[in-house]
Amino acid sequence: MVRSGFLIALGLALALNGASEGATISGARYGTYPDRTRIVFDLDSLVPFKVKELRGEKKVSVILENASPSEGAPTTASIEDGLVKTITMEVVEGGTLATIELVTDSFTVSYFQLPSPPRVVLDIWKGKRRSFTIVLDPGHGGRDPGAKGPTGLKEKDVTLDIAKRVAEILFEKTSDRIILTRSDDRFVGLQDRAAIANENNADMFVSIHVNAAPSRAARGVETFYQSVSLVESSRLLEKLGGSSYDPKGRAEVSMAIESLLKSKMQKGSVELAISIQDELSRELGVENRGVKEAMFVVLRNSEVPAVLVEVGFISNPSEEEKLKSQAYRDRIAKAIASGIIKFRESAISGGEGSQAYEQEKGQGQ
Amino acid sequence: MSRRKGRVSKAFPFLIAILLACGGIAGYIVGTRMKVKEEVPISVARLYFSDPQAEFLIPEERKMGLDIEAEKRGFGPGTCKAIQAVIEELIKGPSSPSLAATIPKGTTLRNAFVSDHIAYLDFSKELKTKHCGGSSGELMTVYSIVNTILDNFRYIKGVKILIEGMDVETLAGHLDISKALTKNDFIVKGP
Repeated sequence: MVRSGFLIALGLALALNGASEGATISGARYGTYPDRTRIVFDLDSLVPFKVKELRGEKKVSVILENASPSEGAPTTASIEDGLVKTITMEVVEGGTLATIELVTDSFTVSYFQLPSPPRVVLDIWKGKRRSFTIVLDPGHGGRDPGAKGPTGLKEKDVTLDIAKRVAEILFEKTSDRIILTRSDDRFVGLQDRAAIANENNADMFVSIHVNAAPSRAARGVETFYQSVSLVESSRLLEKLGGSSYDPKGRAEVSMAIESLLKSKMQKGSVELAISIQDELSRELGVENRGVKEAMFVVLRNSEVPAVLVEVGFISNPSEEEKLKSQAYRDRIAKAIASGIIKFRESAISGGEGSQAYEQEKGQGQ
Repeated sequence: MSRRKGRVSKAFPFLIAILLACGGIAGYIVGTRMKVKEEVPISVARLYFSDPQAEFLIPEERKMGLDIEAEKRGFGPGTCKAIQAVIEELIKGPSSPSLAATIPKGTTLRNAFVSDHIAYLDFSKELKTKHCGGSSGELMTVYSIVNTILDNFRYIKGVKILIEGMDVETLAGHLDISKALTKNDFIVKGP
């Protein structure tokens, strides 16, 4: 059923572009499936990329920033699989523009960047689908190792590996756009992580962490969402300690709007937290520590439904041992992915809280 | 003369009795004062430590070597010293073997001061660098400090944690401590 082929990228105007220090696109591949066509751009390193749907023109454009195609390759490829007609690549300022021509304006695009080997994967789906943008946030990274286990397992390595596994499952099972806040071992600031979700107008933000405690006995899984009550009391505290000058009117209106949006977002966050926590505790059969609220920086700065999942205690010797296992990581990833999928399904079928959120988002687009 | 003498001699034992009584009372008062000084008025502070699962903070009563009763009721010249003493007890860890310490070993409280009902606690770097990490570990550490201060000192409405005199975003990458925090009753279990 699957028809595959290779597109080789062009090397035209490479010298003119002068982006030799950037990434090289070694090639592009495609595969035709019953419900979609998959297009893969192979690179030698990860680059930022932008995908645009040009529905009226029956086109999808992809800009691979700071990337230029390898030398001496053809510039276009004809696919003609009933959905995608052709793919054309050209060097533009700041990178490479790939234009995908389609036979119809009824399509859905999902995309994902995979780190090893580095590649950008695009799925063009037949027909219009509800496509979510999901930001997965592997906790810690780079100079911040996170918690360390008794035998030296580092939280940052576990969170990255699990996040990649979740991303691959979601990409296979849904038509969603999956964004990782980091796809390798690098430091990303807490506020920058939330900003990635906000800037991409994401539908959800899922931060993946490994827990720790001073006592080695602590064990189990738990999921956090943004605390409203604690934020409120800290706000009252600011008033108490702050100046008595209060420019009434504007401040109060913006506070009211903010609290309305927050409550909507809060509802989504709680639903998402419950959905993921249920799947995790069932799949892993470990201590269910439940769903909790906390004033975490990544959640506090997120403007979309956001949760932080603690998948186990690295400080507990037996849980650390389990967290080293590939099979156990797969089970964690599977559980997180199915929690996300159940949440998005209830959003599609018009789950109360999510419906209003959908409308809000729809108007914004 | 003899009559006078007789009067004096009659009054003498009476005077002695009065003198003795006065001395007794004075002696008694002095004695009581001494006794009070010997047994310094004991203050009890309520300290919060972690349960073994790092899910809940559990209070433990600790006898203080310092009278902090006045400081518990309201702000005074001794408040900062009292806060310092209570946090130093918290740093020592729990006396119950079924509870866990929340402050990393080697941490010291460099300074404590109060402004606008907010207690500023300046810890040494070990609070951050030696921290075990994890959301639960971090929640236990931060709220054991915050709840302990807010529970003992009614006058204080919020706690701001500083590290080596500086503002920090978090201790271990999760909980926002860039601003003063209020008491968290969700993670408290026990009396």
